[in-house]
Amino acid sequence: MIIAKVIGKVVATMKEPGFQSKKLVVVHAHIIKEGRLVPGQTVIVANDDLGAGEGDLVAVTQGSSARLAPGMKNCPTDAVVIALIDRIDAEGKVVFHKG
Amino acid sequence: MFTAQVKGSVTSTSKHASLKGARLLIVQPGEPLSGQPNGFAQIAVDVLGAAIGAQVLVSGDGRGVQDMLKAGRDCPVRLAIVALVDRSLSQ
Repeated sequence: MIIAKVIGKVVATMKEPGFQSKKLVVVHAHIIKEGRLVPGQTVIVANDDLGAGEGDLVAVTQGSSARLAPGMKNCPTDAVVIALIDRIDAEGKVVFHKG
Repeated sequence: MFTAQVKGSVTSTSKHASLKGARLLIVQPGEPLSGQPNGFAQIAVDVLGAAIGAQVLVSGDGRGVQDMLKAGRDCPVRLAIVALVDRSLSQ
């Protein structure tokens, strides 16, 4: 799974049936470097059923296991937001705290 | 999944049986908000009828491609266009 910040959303009316009524968010992967949360390289699109808003930090699972997330059985996705992150402790510090 | 722009198409007569009749498009991955190209152009299966130049969403879910092509478990394809993007925007 990756840690990522929600930076936007994707709107598409013409899509595979499995994507009907599914929210698509643009997420920017983040990494932890010297006790700080810094932006990484990848920007991808993921399904989100948890209601992540812009600026939220989320955990995204990728690959075929993404379809095991609730509600994704018939959706040909390879990236799903599976958690809204409240806090991250790393390298002996609180690297991120929501709010 | 990543957003991309359709750059062209690929025609092949001698190919894996599961690709028979499949439409193969060249997709150039691009950063969703700025549209800046990022990554190598790749080939993706298209069942939605994306036009050249269209902005699309590409998924790497192999199972999904097998369902789209109605091909069995031995279909070795992973990338498929799963949506034609109207717009991607920061909220």
